[in-house]
Amino acid sequence: MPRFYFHLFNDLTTMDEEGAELRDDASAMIQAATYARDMAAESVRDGHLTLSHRIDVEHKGGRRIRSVYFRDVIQIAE
Amino acid sequence: MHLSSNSSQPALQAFLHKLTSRSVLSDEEERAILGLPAHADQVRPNREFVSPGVPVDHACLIVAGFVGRFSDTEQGNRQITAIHVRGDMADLHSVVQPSPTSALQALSVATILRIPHSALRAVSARYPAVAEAFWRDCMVDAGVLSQWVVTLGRRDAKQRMAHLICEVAIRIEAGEPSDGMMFEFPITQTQLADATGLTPVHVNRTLQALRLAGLIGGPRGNLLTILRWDALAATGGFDAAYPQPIG
Repeated sequence: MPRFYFHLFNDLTTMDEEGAELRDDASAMIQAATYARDMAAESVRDGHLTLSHRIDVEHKGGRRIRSVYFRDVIQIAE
Repeated sequence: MHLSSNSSQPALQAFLHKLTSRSVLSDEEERAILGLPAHADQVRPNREFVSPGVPVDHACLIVAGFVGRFSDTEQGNRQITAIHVRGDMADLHSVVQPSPTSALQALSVATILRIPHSALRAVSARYPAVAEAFWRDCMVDAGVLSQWVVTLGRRDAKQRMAHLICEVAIRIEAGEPSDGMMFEFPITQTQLADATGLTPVHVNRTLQALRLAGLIGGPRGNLLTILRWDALAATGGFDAAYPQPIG
């Protein structure tokens, strides 16, 4: 199974050097959304949320990177 | 591989050392522990060597490496409920409860000694002090589990990670807690996530925050350094006496 890395860019930049083996790109993107929601929830618990924070998903070898922005994975209603 | 009592003795010595750090045993009782029959096995990660519902007739003593106790939810979400290190009898309670309710897996490649229940029962029946030491050992595991519940239910990410790191440091007996202490920490980000109820990304960020605060160094390779013990223990609300109460 291919290995994916999940780099976090919120108030702190945390590069993932270990990664995880996942079935395919689609599984990696689902994981990234889950991780982004979790980190967003953690921010909300502390009383703030920045929608432009993101997780970059890197396929092993760095052949492509896709960003998952917090704003894309949470619905906010007034 | 079957081992004579001579070659299995270093591992049994480590177990005896844990027992006698909590209980008083006579020379004869100590010899009885060191003379336990044992069968050594190397176990790989991601493979259960004890499985829920599959009865066992032996208990597993960790010789080298780290072992985790695992349970999965119906949705496939995993929780690690204990981490065991060298010298721990990971399922001593199986002597009286041989049908496991959770799984044991190595976190990294580990060596275990399988010790027959019959031998553990025999030594307990012959030496009541040994039976009491075994009982106390099981209660220490129960005490640790109770702290894990507090941690998972009431501590935030930074506190959870600091608490776990302090616990592993104490349990692996890397010496008296001190600044700069370095020890084996062969636990992946995913396994740390499963032990702390966090996501791997959150684990990674939390370790980063602890590093930036100057509390830890690494993990690098399989080694972790605690740079400021008192500050890390305070962050995790960790009581150094808790995994090792003296009987």
